[in-house]
Amino acid sequence: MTKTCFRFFTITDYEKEEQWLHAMFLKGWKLVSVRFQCIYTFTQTEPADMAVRLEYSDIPLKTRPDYEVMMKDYGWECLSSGAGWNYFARPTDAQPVNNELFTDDVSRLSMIRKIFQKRYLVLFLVLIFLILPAVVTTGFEKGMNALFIGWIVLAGIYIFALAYCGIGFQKLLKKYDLKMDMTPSVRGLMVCALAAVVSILFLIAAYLVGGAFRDFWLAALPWVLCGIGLLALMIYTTTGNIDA
Amino acid sequence: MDSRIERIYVPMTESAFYILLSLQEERHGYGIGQRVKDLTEGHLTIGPGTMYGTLSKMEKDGLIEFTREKEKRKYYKITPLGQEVLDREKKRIRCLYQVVEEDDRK
Repeated sequence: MTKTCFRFFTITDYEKEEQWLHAMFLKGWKLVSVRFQCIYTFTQTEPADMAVRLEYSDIPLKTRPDYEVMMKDYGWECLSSGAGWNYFARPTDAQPVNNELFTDDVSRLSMIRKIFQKRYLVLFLVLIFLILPAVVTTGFEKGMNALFIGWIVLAGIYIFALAYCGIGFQKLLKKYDLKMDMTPSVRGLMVCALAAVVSILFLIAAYLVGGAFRDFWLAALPWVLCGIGLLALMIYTTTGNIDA
Repeated sequence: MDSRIERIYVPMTESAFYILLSLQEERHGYGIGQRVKDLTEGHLTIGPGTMYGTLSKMEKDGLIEFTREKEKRKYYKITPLGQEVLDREKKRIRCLYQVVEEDDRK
């Protein structure tokens, strides 16, 4: 017998996801597949105390048969693999250390950094090059319009998600006493994203005040801020660390 | 030894040291883990994620090399560069131990 659940876990809530899957095992449900990162399919099994661990890796498991066999040697079974996330489970061992995939700071930080670079930073680019221009161009129309409101709402949700995950990363780093060093280009990107957020807030304020604010300079402001951010980024990467 | 290798591997993490030490003999991932457990009398456990990551990095940096594959398991062995790095670390540990011994005798 199978059952399918819809649950959404953010990229920094994977430990919560592990606990949920562990609880499902205790109820007798074994994870079979994860689709679109929110549709979980389970198959009925004997209730068992299984430790579940997620691993984010940009290299698909199928292309690493040696890793798969190493995991098996250590007692881990791969439940599902896809979209960069691998789900492993093993009977809970009496010694807690045997229930972990990562046992030193270097490897733990490496995985967190991978998630940060491949899943989080990309979102900043979407904010700067998709959402912000959409907000600007729809807001340029005179009068309240539904499209502008729609994009503002989307921007709001998006910025909230970015902030939530940003805090999530901080919590993870603090939990394991790790420090993630940011390259200048990353810092530059974050400056641009911050400029985009400030611009959107400015546009909302201007819209609410109304009147003569809807003119060329208002529309140009976000681009000016982003331009400054990009300039700062370029200066950083050329005069600062070459290793961007 | 170039400065980049020195920066990363001197000093080494405990796990990296034991992995490199074990690879003076040809072994595969799980076998290294078992060897480390024996050497440390069960005190040091290296998780598979850490093991795989460390082996990949050491291979890329030229400290170990892939020797053969058997039943999908990859076997590795230390390279001359790896031996150089290991000897440097052993020297550091010996020095550290001597200082500790002298301090204890006081």
